[in-house]
Amino acid sequence: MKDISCHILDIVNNSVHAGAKVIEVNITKNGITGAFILQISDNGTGIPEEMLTKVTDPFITSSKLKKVGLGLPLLKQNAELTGGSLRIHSDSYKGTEVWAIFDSKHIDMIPEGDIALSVKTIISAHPGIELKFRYRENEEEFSMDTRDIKNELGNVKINAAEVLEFIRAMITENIVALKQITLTDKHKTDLIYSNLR
Amino acid sequence: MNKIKSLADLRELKDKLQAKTKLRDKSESPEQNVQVKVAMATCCIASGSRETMNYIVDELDKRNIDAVVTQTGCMGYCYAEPTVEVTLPGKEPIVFGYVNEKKADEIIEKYIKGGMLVEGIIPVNYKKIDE
Repeated sequence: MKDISCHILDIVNNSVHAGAKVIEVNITKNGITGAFILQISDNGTGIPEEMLTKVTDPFITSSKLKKVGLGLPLLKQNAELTGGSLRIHSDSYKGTEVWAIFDSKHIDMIPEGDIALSVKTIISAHPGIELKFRYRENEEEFSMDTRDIKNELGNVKINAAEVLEFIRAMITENIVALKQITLTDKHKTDLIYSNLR
Repeated sequence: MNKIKSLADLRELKDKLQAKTKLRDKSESPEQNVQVKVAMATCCIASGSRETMNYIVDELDKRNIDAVVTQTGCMGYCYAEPTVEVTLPGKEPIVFGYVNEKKADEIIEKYIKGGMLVEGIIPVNYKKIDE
């Protein structure tokens, strides 16, 4: 996988296959320590206990069409390359929670990519699923819920091309704004960073 | 600095769209629609099916073609990703391989609009002559 945004799309597809109706995507970044946490949780059917230890094996899959399942193994690989890890918690019939922890200051860290485009693609392909997206950088955060958007839209469909483009622009602009806040606060960040050293 | 978009801006967009969808609903009947399925499994995402899907969604809207664009899992043609399955009304579904934005444009212009076949078809569902 090229970037984080592709992983998000991929892991969310797992949730959709598990029959999830509500999916949450949380990204938490710490500019000081470099910790980058991607958390995806759903209310799907969950992973059976005997499968849970084997899901990161590339030759284990629930699919009958093919013999490989690379989504989680690739995410694990990319996380571990930066010295991070992958954690999966699952309750049968309640849902699954995936945590991927990266060190964003590591040289092998993959780029974030176009996260807004991934969110747009998820909504466009699965308009019936409720997606909660949250992006947190240092102390500031942006969050979005498709339920709020649907309330606002009324009888207009959420997968209309104009609405999708609006959602993508909204996410992109807000993420850029978050990054600008941290830049103006650079002085403060630098201070904390030097203290840690 | 430009104002950042928020949920409040969605209300304006909604009023604009409501007028537009009313016109569209009249022509909406499922069997008359073109169906496009974009494969979106790990292999497909890694080779860029996300960009292909967004291009198709945007372009079909721009060119005023009524179509349903959905996603499917891996179809087993990982060597030819991104793959796209197109079903024209009343016709058999056809799977295209190596669909980048340029190829997607060709499929929309020639196959969806004009019914002409284009290169890059993966023979998935063919019938023998004696069937």
